[in-house]
Amino acid sequence: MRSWRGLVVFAVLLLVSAACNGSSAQRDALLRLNGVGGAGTGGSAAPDQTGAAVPSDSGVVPSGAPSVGGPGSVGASPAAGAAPSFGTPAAGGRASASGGSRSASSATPGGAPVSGGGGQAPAARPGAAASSAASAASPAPGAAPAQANGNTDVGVTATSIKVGHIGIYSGPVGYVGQNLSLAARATLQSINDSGGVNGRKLDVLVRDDGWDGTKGINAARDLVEREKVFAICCTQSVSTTDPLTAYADQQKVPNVGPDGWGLVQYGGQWSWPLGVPAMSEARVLAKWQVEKQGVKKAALLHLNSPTGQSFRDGYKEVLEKMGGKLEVVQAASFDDPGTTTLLARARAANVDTIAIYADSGIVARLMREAAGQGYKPPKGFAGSTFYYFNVTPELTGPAGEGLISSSHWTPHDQDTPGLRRYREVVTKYYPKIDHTAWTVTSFVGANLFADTLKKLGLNVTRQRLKDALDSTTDYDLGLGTKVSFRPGQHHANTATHLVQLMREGDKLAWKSIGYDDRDATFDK
Amino acid sequence: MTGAGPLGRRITPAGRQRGRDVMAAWHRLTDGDTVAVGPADGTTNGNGHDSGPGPVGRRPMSLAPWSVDGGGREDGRELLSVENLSIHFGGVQALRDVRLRVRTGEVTGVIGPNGAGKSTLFNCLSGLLQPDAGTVTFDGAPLRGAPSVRARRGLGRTFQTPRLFRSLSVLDNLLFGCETADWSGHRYVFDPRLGRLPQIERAERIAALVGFRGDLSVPAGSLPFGDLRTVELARALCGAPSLLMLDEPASGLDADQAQSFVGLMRELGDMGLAVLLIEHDMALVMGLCKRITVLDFGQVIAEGTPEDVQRNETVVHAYLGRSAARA
Amino acid sequence: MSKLLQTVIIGTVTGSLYSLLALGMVLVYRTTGVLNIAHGGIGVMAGFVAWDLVQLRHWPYYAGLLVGVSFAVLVGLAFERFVVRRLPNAGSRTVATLGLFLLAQGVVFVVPWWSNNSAQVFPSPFTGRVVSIPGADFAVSYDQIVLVGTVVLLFLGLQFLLRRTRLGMAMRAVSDDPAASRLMGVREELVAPVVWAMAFGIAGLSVMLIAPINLLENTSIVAFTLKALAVTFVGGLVSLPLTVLGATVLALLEAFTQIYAADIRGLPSAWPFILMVAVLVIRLIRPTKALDEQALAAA
Repeated sequence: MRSWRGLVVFAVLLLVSAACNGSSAQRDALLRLNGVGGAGTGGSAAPDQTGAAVPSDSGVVPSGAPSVGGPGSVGASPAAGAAPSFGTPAAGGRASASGGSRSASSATPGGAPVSGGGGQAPAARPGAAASSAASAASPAPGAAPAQANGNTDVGVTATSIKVGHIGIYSGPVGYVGQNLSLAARATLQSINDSGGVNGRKLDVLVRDDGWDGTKGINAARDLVEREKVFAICCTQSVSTTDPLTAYADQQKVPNVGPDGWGLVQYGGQWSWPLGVPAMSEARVLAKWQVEKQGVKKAALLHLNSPTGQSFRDGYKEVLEKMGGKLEVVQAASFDDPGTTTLLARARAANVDTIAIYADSGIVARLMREAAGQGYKPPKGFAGSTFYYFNVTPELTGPAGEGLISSSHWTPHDQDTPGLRRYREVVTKYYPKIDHTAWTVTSFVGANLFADTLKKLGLNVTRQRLKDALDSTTDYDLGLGTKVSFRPGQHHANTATHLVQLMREGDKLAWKSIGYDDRDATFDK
Repeated sequence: MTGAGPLGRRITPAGRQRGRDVMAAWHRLTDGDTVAVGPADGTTNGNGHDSGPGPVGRRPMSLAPWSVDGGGREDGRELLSVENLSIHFGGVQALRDVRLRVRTGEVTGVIGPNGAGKSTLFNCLSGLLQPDAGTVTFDGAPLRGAPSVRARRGLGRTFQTPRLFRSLSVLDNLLFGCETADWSGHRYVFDPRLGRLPQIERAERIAALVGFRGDLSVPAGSLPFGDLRTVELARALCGAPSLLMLDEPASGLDADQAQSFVGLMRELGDMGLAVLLIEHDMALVMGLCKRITVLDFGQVIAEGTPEDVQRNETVVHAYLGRSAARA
Repeated sequence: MSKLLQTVIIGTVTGSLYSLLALGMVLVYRTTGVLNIAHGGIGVMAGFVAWDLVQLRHWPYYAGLLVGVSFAVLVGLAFERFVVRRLPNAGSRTVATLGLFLLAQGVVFVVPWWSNNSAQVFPSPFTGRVVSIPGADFAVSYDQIVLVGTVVLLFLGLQFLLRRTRLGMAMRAVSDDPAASRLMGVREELVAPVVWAMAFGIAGLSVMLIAPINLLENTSIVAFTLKALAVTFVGGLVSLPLTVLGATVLALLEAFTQIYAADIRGLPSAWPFILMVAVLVIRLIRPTKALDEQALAAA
């Protein structure tokens, strides 16, 4: 009796450990979704919510009835007629961003200022003027291309360009992930509302991958092979974007603006990622800590994923090159964050700072525990990822004060023309969106896509788009980082802006500390 | 005994005295004394006992067989009568029209070859199996209901393979027998007001009665086989049965143990307890039983005194001869 | 010296955490023969219910705690009534708990305002209060003390329940031999609901005690449950003292290797498996029966 029980026990143990790995992979992917990198290829155990696309409780859904989107109607009913239809991205329904406005395309004079209230014309877009794309945007937008010969490539007609976008609306991280997608859709919609691309509307087909790479690739195949989209834009679900890189190369479909957190994405010829590698962030952070904080001895806690290891390597390399020493290194997993022992070791080694590459949950544990023991390293805690989670200050509580993190773009507490423009565009369509560094990446990706297309004039082809993207130099939306690509070198963004959790009233808020730098290692 | 009772419970002097009183009363009862004393559990700090009549209610201890009618034993009173009991499993008629009588103060044997239906008969009587047909009368009333109901009416049994609660200590096994006999299962489990001192004393008393000399606090699962049988018998006795059904109680016992078992059976019989015995050891059966029922293929093929049975041609042919040939 | 003391304290607190989860599982296994895989998962679900009430709906902490535990108890009763009772044996019931575990995880993931973060803050009224250790430069939090204290109380309580009460006797008797105990009036249906309700309640309480220390989240609780499972093997899945001992030893081994032998990569996380393999090897070498009896004697 006992012996067969033992067998059952063992079998079940195996299953449980598999389940643990599953959930660990999920969380790892959540982290990477938010730009924190990890080895996991995305959990497949995510609850299948296909069809139940978007929580309808979000009051951010614009629900304007389809109507001709004229300049006057915009203010009253945001995105009228062009509401990114929210219903069924994954259910096979076409969520066409141009929807009712397609018929309006010929009626809408290009270049008309359509931004709500502000009367800010796209031409006046700060920073955009400096971009090389702007210089090429000379073809008169109002001149609609000829009807028959407008079909210049797959997915392109005289009046529209079919674009695929895969977002995260369901699954375990749908709640967080949808912000990234909504920011991208808002930006694409704003481009349509301001006349589209040389008279062509962007016909955006939205799919939900439920944060599952398998579903995501199936969605990509459906978009590319059945719907015959011209390109894929602004897909930041890391479960999907890693495998999507190879698929884009195979199909020679442009994949513009993925998250860029999996290093594999930089190897793709048809993918132009916009994130910053963890290694670059680590290098900038270490340099700043040695130069400005005088750090000599450090401890480091990193997630034991390839990205986490690259963070460790970058940090150690710069720190030790500059005469410091990494005294304590500890690999963490979600199962066993090891915060308690790291603290004990760091204290014994008497380090100046503790650097962390982990999610907000782990860093919150670490800082709360340290505060509980009345301990704080002289130069505090620093890391790369926490800024991407709006929840970080809430998780750390008062113990989090002083935590240093980094951003890919100008931090949100700043008031620059670029950020104002970003907020204006995104909140016009989705007022309640959670702004993170990643929603900015979506914004940049959508703009880069449209601006580069404009550069092509009417002869829009995939190959010409690739060539134009590969020659992007110092593309700048005034968001603190200029983006450049070269053929075969797609490390566009290596800039890191440092932010710190500071007290604001009775809460903690991220404040820029006015330092940014970029990692030049990938420049070659 | 030290101040700490079994189960480690502290026993107060008053409690100890109360226990002694109960034991004295019970002892007199077991000796066939005529003193009519209330139920054992009735004497403890107001816990009372299941006084309600009906199938769930436990008959008071004073009606235990050894004190029937509160005045002297009436050995030979018919306690159990089985008429035309039949049961089948699929196509196999396991019992057919079985007739059986058991009298107080007597050991009645049930013998027969393996598969004759002896254990099936026990299971039907104790309520684990539901017979197809037949009437069973116990102590003047039909015997029916759940096994526990029958147990509380005074039907105790052991199993062919001892089925003690292996993780419970010996004492806890015995207490389980005592307490589930005194109280309904529900009260046993959930009524926190019930004390257990009388039961502890009773359990120890019965352990001594059956001749268990080992440590009462060891897990029952760790006992040697012979002791398992002894303890299971003791647990059955803890339920204060008036009819004790023993399924091959002597198998696996060594000569000494078998000897003391015979002694114990005689003692119990003298106390007025009715015993129904399945046993293969013919010498033991013949020496112990007043009457024997022989089963073969689910049917009674003979019934009578040991001498009658031994002389019965059918029996010799069906069973005894074979075992004699084997011996 | 301070480092040594700190290591021991870390080990003790972590050991209590493992014990807390392991004790609940031992209770179920010992009284029903079912290995309750769902233990941690149910705890997390109940923890989220309490968290929802306290943090989002601003209920008083103890009211939320009570409702969370009651929720777990109700789930336990329902699981016993509608699943366990309809399954024929311990093996299939164990598999059913695996299903329940996946279900509980799914629920936690599906509720959008629960899963909008990888972890949720769930402070107790004691959070933030600490006791300094004289002569050492670190402190122990009230939450940790409450955790250790609860483990001690739970251990004593379960010991008392299983060894000294009729309810405990009945639980064990039913587990040992359902038919014999039924014959004697104690039916399985009488005690099994109590076992499951109690175990699930303990699971919920455990997570609510761990959450202030570790944040409220799924993954680490599941990992802790796995480790707790490993330590229950030390006690043959039945012995409470050996389980607590195993949990403490495991946690101390982890703490000491993490702090004093951090260069040996992977060793700290290997301990649960080393422990399990060791237990299995010992069980192969020595007859299982003897070990079980020892475990029961010590139980």
